[in-house]
Amino acid sequence: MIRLELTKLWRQNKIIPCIMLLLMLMVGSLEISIFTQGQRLSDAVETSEQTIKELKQPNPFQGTKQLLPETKSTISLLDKQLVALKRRDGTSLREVGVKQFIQKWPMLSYSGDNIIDFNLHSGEVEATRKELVYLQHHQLPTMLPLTIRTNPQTALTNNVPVFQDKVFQELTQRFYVKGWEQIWLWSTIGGIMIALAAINIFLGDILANERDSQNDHTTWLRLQHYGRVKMVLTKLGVHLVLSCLMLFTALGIFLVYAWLRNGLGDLRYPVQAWALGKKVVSPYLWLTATAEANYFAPLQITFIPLARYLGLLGIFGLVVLFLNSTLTLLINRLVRMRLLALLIMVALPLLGLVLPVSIYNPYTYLNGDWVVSNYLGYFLSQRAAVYPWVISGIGIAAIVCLVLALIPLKRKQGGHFG
Amino acid sequence: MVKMNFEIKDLSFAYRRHPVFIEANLTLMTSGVYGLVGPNGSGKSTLFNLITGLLHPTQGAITLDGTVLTPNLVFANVAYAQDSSVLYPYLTGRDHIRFVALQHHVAAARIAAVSEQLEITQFVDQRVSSLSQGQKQRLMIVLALLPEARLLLMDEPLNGLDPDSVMIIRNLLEDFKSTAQMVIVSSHNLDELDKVTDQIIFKVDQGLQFETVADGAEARYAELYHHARPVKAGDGHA
Repeated sequence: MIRLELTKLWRQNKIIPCIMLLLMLMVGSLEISIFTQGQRLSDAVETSEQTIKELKQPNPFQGTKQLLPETKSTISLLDKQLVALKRRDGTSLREVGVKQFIQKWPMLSYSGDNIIDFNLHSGEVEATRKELVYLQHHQLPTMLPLTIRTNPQTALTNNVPVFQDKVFQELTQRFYVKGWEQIWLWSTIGGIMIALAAINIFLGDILANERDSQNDHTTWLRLQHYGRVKMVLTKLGVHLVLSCLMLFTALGIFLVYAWLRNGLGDLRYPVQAWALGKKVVSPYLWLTATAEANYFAPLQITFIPLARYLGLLGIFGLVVLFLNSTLTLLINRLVRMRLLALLIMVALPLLGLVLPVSIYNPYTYLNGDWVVSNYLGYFLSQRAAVYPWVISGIGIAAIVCLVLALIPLKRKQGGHFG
Repeated sequence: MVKMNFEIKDLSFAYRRHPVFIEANLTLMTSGVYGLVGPNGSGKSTLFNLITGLLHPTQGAITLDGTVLTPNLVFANVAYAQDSSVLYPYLTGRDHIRFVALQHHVAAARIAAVSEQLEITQFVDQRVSSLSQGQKQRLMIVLALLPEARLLLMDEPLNGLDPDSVMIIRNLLEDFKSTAQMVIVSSHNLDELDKVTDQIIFKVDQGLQFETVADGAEARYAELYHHARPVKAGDGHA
């Protein structure tokens, strides 16, 4: 039956087109990242030049045309940042960044007026400093342009004036232009849900298509001693294995492409995560600095290598694929109309991208980045890592779906008469 | 002819509130070819679905040699050549044959022999979607013949066939007269049915009526269905 099913799917042209669609999405994402990064770098250079020019203007309130020594030092660092930015030199940019962020009032050449100290209130500056120190320790170049390390709270806590919107974008938006970094990006923007929707376009009717156009192929299978349980389990196996195979094949080809295009990046790159840690005493001078450094208390922002992040994300992805497979079978059993079943299975993952985040919204627990980085732990006010609990929860939900898919529905039989 | 005992006892079945069978009875005692005749929508396919367990009766039992037919028993003893629409359009005939052969442990020699007999070898590697109705029907029959089941049910095997296919299937049915298998063939083609058997099961009202029709099925059909009759479930015995 497995062979029969695979042959059928192959002849229906479902496997290769699915891989191609996934690959197109992946390559498209990388190309957009590279393109927008190029634009943003040009903007950042322009903003930096403007900032440095303004700093070099004598301050009318000081009553002298001479620049203060601190200002000269700052300008010198910003000049170096600008040079590194123009050269697209992540290592130099990191070195200058580290020097900036161990100062009392850190500044980036394109950081605008007081955004860093006045407008960021959930540990961003402290996190950026930690990240830069981590990069320095492992001798890794920074992403381009060097940006402030934001978190899901940033949008809720910052109050950047409208006229500084562009500068704030330059200061915070990262560009994941290497192979491994792209996978990291996808996990932060709901890539798993998009991948599931793409897979479901091709496999979302794997069971419902047994009853296409009023032809019930299952009757023939049942006569061959292939009952409901065997059929559902076979379809589950085929769906799960094919989903993994198609996704990882597309991913494999994408990584080769990314390697040739712009490199794969370094798997030691730091990824922001949340874990219990000591209270941080901020070295910065503005009034709220210490409170902001401990914004997520008792959890603290920490950094884990990209390899660990991707490993955990891979396991999470496999469990979500398992849930998707069992849910597909359940929906296909309940909704016998093939097209409706297909539509539901494509729409379901996409709903996760638009529904508001809430503890009552199940999609919140399917946000791979939140689960792996343990931001979900903060969101749920948990001290311990929620990763194992979420993985177990998704696994249990998948098994429940499978059991429900295996339960016989009301048997097709005549009612009482006479 | 070989002694067999296929029995339908007090069979009742209804689609929602539309009764198809009410305490219908039928007993067939020997192997051979039997026709199943009734107007469109009278329940011929429903009867086959009830025998094979694809539908479940509200009441009554269907037995083969005194044993109630269970899914396992159906798999081992009953073959059903359904409407060819159950075949997978994207698969080839060989894909279907391979699957059935694997399920029933059919030897390669048997597959070759049946394929030759039904003359499907020329198109067995084509996708079902590209086959003609007659070719699909012959493939469907091959699939039903492979397991060598004791009871073979054939649902409208002569419907919409080209002359070649009709001849091939007619010859096949002729061959069944001398085997140990019991074959029940439903058909609207009474002329063709008359050529292969005079033992007919009529679906009359909500019952089954078995008769040996010496003057042909068509004449009896006219008597049974074209004239008003009192409504009463019939019992048939062979």
